[in-house]
Amino acid sequence: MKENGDNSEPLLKKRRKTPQLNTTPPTPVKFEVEDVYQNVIDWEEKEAGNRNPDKDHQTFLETCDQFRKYMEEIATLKKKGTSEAKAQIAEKQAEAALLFVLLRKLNRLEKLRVKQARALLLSMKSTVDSKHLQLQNLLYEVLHLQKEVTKCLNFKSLDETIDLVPLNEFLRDAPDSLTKAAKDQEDPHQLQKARLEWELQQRRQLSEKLKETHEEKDKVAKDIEKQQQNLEELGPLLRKILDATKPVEACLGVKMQETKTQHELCYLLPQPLFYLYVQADAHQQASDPHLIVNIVGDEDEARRLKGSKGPSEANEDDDSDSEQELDNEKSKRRKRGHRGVDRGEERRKRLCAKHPLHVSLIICLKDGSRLELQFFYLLNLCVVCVKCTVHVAQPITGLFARELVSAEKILCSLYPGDSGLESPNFANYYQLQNVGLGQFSDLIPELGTPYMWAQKIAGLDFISHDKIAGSSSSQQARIEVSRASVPNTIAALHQRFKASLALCKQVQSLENRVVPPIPALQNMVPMKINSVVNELKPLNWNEYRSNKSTQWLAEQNQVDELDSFYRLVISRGPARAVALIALKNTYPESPPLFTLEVMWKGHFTSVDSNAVRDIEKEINVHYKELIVGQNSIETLLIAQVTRLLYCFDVYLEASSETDEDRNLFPREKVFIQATRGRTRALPLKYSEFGGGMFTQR
Amino acid sequence: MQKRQKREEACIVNMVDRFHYNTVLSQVFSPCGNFLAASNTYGDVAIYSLNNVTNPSDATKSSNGIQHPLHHVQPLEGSDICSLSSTPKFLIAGGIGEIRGQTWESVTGAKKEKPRFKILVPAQRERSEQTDVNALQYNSAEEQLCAGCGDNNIYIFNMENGKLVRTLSGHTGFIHSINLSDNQLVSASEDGTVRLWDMRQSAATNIIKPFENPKLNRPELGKWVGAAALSDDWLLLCGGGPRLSVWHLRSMEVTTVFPMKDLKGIHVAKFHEDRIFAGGAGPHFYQFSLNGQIYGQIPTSACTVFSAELQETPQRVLSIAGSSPYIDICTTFNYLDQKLSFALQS
Repeated sequence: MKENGDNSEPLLKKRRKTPQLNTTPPTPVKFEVEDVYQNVIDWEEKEAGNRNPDKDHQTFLETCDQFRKYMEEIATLKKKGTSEAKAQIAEKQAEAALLFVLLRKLNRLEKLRVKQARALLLSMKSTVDSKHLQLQNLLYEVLHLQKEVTKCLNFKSLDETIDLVPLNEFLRDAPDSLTKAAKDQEDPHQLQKARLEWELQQRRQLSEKLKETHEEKDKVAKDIEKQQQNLEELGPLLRKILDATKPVEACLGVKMQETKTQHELCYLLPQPLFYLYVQADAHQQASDPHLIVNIVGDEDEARRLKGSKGPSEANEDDDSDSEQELDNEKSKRRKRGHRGVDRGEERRKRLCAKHPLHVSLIICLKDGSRLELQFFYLLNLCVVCVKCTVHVAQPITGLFARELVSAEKILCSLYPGDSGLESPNFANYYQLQNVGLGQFSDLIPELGTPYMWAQKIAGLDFISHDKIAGSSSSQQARIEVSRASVPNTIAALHQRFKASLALCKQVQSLENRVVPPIPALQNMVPMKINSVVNELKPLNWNEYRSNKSTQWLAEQNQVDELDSFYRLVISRGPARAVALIALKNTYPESPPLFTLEVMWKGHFTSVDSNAVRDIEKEINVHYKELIVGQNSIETLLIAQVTRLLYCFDVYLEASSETDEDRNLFPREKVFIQATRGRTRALPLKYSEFGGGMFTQR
Repeated sequence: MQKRQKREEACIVNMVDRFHYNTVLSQVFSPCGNFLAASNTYGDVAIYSLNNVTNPSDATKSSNGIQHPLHHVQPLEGSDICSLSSTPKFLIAGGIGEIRGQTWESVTGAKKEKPRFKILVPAQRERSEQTDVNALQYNSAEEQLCAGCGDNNIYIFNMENGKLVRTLSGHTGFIHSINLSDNQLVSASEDGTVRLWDMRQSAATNIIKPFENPKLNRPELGKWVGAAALSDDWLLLCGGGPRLSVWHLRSMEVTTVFPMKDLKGIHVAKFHEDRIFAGGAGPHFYQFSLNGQIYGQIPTSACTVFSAELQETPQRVLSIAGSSPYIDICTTFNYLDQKLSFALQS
């Protein structure tokens, strides 16, 4: 209760909150009449702000308790029901009613406080919001600035792309005014600037120089043009002079004229033959006086052909007049207007048409033998074909030897694999099929052989072109191809011809069973040889291959079908030996290969006898000793046969173990040991020491 | 350009020819057993790795299975090699007039190294030709090297200092082969005799003349003896022009004659365990029991076999070589396993 009373004191004060009674006005100045209500509100607000809300809460609770107490007292008094009690009740009721006033006040205060707090919260919130916005702005700005910075950092200046003079050159060449600044301050920026400056200066100078040079060039070009004109004007003049000299020439001789006509003719040649002629002629003049180069054929026809149309167009346009004309003249059989009578035949003829002119190369040897090569150009098949005739100075009597100097043997495989049996122009296969002709090889007797080397020297390089499906007529001859191959090919032909003739002569003498002595090898063969040549016969490839002793040669591709094979029989008394000889196209680079079969007391070959093997080795491996002097090409085969003969002698003499044999083959050769070493090698090697002696190798 | 190419081709052709007429006279296994060295008459020694031989790589399988040597060495700098032998450290090559040794490391490692030692065979005054060293054998117990030579003598050299210890002379033809067993040495010669020597004496202890025995003599082939060998239990094997035969040393009697007809001239005869290996001029290499029964008949690529070497460890290998560009390898001793080419891989 006491507390209640204490508490109620302020309450009482509050109750007297009328403006008049307000004894404790914090702001008495505010006391203005106009808006009392407003003042009250202000006052209340202030009070609400000043008061402690917790205390108010306490007060509220206490007031509520008090009220409850009053109610209980009233309740008990009502039960008594006395009048005294009634009076007391009335008093208590008043008291309780007063408490409502207090409660209302508290409530109001609370409301105001809440309102204030709300206002405060709102204002705080708005400041937070504005701050936040500000922050966002700043962040955005930072980001933007960072972007700008990176942009700046990444910026590529134009000057970086310029190729500058190297630094040391710059320091050396540039004027001091530029270099000084750069040298003094070691500022790369300054240096760069100076270098750029220098670059600019130099470039200006150079561009000026360029302009000058251009002008100069133009001037020279004009000069040249003028000179050209002069030259052209000179042409007719010269022709006139030439015409005038003709009678003089006729008086002096025809040589000049001939060359001239040849040179005139050569312009009528198709391009490949033209290149061939030019290159071969040049080669003849430069290095090979034994070569004769000529253009042969019908000049008028060639002129007509040149005047009318190129062969390539004729190929496509079957019925064109020029084609007809060409065809007529080529075949010399059909008459104009017979068109369509035998169309297939006609087309065939046309496809195989040759150019009316051909180039003839004659390779002469010192002994007067000549190899005559005729090069034809097939207008529509676009290949060069070769026909060849051989003129030998001394007649060949040998029956088998003649084959060695046949045109095919000499020209075949001039370069490895070049048999000439197929056309190097792949398109020909289809062209021939279209008109119903078979293989190119069937046409060779008529047209000549399309060797690869012949295409090469005419400047046609088929390997480097893929012409399988394309039109062959676009095949262009190139002078550089021709230039590259003419000297080599002519040299190779020369060499081949010489080798063939040499082999032919040697085979011929063997055919006659004569082994002529070789002066250059006088010291390398014994004086007396007892074994003799009995017989020489040619073999074909299959006969050769079927022998046991030649198996390995065929297996290792040491010999092939294109080589020539002979069977040489030698003998001494009852003992016989057979040598199978393979002559290669590439003689003398590849020597003749011998395989030996000995028919004495059995049948031995190198496969089953060491001694026979040694003799073969002596001939096939050590043949280089027999290449002595300039003319070894003429004698190598004979020398090898000679070696075979004396080795056979040694074989018989040294391996005779019984008296009977020794009587048959008396020991005439001089040797120290009949056998040496574990191989029991025979003394097959001859040396002239001590008047001719045989030793083991 | 064309010409040069041609010339190169011609060179290759010649190389093939040269090696087609290749003759291997001697072979030897390295002390470790992993390498085989084979010498030919051109002075080349081809070195093969036996690991490659017994476990051929895919590359060699694809190329006909014919393997090529690791490399060639030329211990005599290109002159002929007649025989090879081996000590634990050196590969020894006997040439003409000299014997040279080269360490196995340098031989197998392809290192360029000059031969480490050189022994000159004494020259005979009356002979104009230099002496071939036809047969070599190393006596490891005494550290001596025995050399059967073309001047009819057998020389015994001390390996420590290369000095000649003893000369065994008496043969009248060149020596074909020698074989050592303890202190006994047997030599086969062109003169048709087989002589037995005690290493400590200079004179022969016994002489056998197979050509005088009508069961052995083949007059058409001559009387020369190409090979002789000793076994531990007093047996002697020899053959050449005369037939292959086994002799008992105590009684000096022939105990077995081997009849095979296609072996014309015997150049190789060996004891191995209880078997006999023999080869020579003929299409086969033979394996016999001691009483003449044929155990194996191996066709050879060489028309004449001049050398056959065999080893059991680390790999069981029998290598047969002679006048052929190939060497035949049998890992089972019974049939031909594979061929090695003498020529280097091109």
